[in-house]
Amino acid sequence: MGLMEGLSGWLKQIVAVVLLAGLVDLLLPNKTMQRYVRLVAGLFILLTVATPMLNWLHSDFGNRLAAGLETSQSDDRASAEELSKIKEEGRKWQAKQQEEAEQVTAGRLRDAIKEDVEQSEGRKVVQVAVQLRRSPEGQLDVESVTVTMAGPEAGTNRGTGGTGGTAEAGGDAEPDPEASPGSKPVEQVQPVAPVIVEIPPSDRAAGGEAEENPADRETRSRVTALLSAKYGVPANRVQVLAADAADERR
Amino acid sequence: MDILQIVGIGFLATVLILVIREQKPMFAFLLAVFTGVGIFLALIGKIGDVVSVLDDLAARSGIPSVYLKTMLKIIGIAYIAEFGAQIVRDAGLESIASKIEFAGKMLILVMAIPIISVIVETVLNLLPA
Repeated sequence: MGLMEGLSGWLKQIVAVVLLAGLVDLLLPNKTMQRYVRLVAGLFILLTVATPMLNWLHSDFGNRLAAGLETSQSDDRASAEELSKIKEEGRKWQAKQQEEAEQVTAGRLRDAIKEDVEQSEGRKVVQVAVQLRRSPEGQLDVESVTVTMAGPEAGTNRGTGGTGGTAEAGGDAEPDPEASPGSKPVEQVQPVAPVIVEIPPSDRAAGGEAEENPADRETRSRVTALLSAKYGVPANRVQVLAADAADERR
Repeated sequence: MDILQIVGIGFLATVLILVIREQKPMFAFLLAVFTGVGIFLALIGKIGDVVSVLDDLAARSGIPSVYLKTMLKIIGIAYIAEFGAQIVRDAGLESIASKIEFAGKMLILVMAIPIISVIVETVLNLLPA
């Protein structure tokens, strides 16, 4: 059955191609073109007759023929299109690569900061979030660093109120002078410039209960100083949170 | 456009050209060109019917659409080359007309190259290595 169907399809195809060739021959304007068109039509008929054999030899000949015909017909246009396509592809790959590099950099920076802060503070660091940003010149910059600390003081933060706003401001100012003299680049995080270890005032104003006592402030300024000294991240881009304070805010 | 209209336009243009040719051969030539283009464009819409019939034929019998596309392109090339060559020939520049025809032939032959290459490759594959 399958054989008969294939055979009838094949015959139908031959008849159709021959009819097509006849019509084309009829449509032609004059004798000079006729010979050339007949050659092409004859080739098509030959190809149709040989289709089963071609399919048997290599199954993808239809695609290759189609590709060949398409390219030979739109050569001049194709070259420009092709170029732009390749360029597009290149851009895509570049963006992807940059993104990957960013991720790797952020990951390494995160790990390094976590380790350093844990070592210097003797407290566990719950989470370090590093935000990178690409400057217009293509350099990678640290947008912000948020260090979330776990620790014994974390629980006591909430009770103490009043002084929060002003105290914080003092905390912000302190690390800044330390930042510039101590900053030196570390090799594996070279493209990085800034890290942030403090709670922005706006945040605090919104959620008034997240105020902190002097001990926390000290921790924050120590961490900020450490990060700016070791990684050259400006103090105003570093943010240090206590674990439960961070939870509260969400 | 009816055939009578076309023939009428043709007669009119011919008479006008014959009159003008004595005084201004240049304008006679331009008139001939525009008449030709006008008739050509008036009838180009009718080609759509023929193409749709061919499309139907191709779809029903399952011949690859590339065949049909190539054939139609060949017809287009042949017509356009012929048209241009005739206009140039009317102006008396036989050599340029034949160059245009040559270009048309070459472009038609270029379309045959992929087919020829597939056939040749198949034949070569058939032979024992």
